[in-house]
Amino acid sequence: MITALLCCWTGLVVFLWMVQGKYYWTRPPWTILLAFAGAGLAASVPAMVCNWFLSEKTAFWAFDPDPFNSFAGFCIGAGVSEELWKFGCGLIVVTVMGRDIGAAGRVLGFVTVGLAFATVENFSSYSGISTPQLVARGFISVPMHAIMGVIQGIAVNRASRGNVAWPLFLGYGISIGLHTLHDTWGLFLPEPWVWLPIIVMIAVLVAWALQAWRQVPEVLGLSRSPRRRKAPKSVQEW
Amino acid sequence: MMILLLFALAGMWLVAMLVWAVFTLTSHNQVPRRREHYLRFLLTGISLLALLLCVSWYFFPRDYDDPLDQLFDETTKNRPSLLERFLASSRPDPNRWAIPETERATVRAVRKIDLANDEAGWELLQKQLSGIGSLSGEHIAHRQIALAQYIMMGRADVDSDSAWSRVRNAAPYDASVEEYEIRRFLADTLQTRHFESGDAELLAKLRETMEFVAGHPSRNFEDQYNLALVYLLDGEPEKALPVIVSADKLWPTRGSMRGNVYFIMMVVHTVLDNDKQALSLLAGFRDNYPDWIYVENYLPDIVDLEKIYPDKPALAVQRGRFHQWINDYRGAREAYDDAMAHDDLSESWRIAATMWKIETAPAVAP
Repeated sequence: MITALLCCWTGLVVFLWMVQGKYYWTRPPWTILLAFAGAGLAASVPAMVCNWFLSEKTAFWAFDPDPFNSFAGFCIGAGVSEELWKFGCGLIVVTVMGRDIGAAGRVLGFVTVGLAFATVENFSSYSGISTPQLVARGFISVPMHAIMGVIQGIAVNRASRGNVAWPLFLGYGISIGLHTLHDTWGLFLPEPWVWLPIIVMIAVLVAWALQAWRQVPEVLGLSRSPRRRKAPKSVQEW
Repeated sequence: MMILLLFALAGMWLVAMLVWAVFTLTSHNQVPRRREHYLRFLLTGISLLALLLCVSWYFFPRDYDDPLDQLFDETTKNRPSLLERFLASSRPDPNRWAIPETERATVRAVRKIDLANDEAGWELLQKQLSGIGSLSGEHIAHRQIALAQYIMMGRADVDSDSAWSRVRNAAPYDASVEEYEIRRFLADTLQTRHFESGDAELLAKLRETMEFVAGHPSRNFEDQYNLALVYLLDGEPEKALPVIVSADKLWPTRGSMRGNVYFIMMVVHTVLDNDKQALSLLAGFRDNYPDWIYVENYLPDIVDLEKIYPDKPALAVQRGRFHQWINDYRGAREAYDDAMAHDDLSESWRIAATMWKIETAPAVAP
């Protein structure tokens, strides 16, 4: 029971905090958010298959003592694969039923995908680790997945607003880089200092994600901190 | 061939997606819909991932040729159960029939350590087995180390006192299973010595130890098998039956050790005069014993069991069947004759022995 709580408490806390902090004027799209959570669960299946393939059929086992093999395992397995499936499954939900959820809904949706994914990962791969390590994952790894969700949500918002594809690729690339960096710090640093850069990185990213989440409008024109827009040139001249 | 095809497909897909992406990004005339962007992104990502996996698979295949694997292979050539146990003992669910490759990967992670001479190597092995990414907890890690010690003790790589002290030192990690693990290790040693000497005192001690081990909440399928074997050797097949049936249900692999379980279950039914079950188990023996060509390995065991159960002539019929399977027809006929000379042989076994004896008769030219 305690293990189950340790596996999922951060996901619940982050999700509820984001919902109550943003949806002031409107009702949260619970059904669509549930679909996003399902997408997170679904994304974990192909991600696990890819990780299994890497560890069993190739030299790129993420926990291999050889730093190159380990780095490649984390980069392809955790970075390229996991972020692709999370992003892809979230996009499917956006495409199928998330046309009108707005900017905040999309960001929260991708965060939900990340949190559901992290919870499944905790249960499936890390429920056997020691309690302090599981607690540490709750403070570091689960928020990291949520931050990846913020990045992907913002990327989808930009792509949606400008009707362009490049923000999707950029968001995906940034997610891969950060996720790989998060997982592979330990390869380059001695034992007592392994956690320090990760904590700093997560703290900086959390600060950025909070600021980004604050700026995302709940409903266009009803945001509590509306961004000032410069009037079009034609209007200024007029 | 297949991998090259996958390569080609993934590569072409990636190039096509990139061309499509560049074309649409630079074109001002086309205004694609959002869904097209999503689709393009997904297809590009999947093809990129497929390409990376193919490249990894082709150029960086898993290298199985490492010293520690070789050590286990050599060690367990004659005693495959040890390897099975080592690999199976970390499984959270013993009903999983396949040995996960991840466990072997964990073992490979410490392949460069000289376990026979390097004290720190054992600490690193324990860290690898119980650290992040391992499938098991600290308890199982210690058990695996104890088993590794046992294997190496069998090879005379480490002396038994050293192995024993390491198990003792590893035990305090969890007080609730300390007694269990120590007695489990003790049972392994007692069993080996009993098979060598046949000492009745050792058997009594082994029985007492195995009853504790198999009755412990942390027991596993092999503990049950060992207890059933001890009951059978001690002349109490009634007690052995439920235990061996349970072990058979829980046994996770289909290696030669599983064949031993099947064999003991067949013998238990035989000495309990459960003719129907015993005969059907004998009929299915070939399908449940992977090392079929070495079936004669069981003949000395049957002879030993016939000494323990002299009033069970059906065992002689089984001995005859085993002789017959390796084309030793003279031995088979002698065994069938031994069995049929006995008044206690049941009707079912008598019919079976008669039929099988006819099969061993030399063909008559027409």
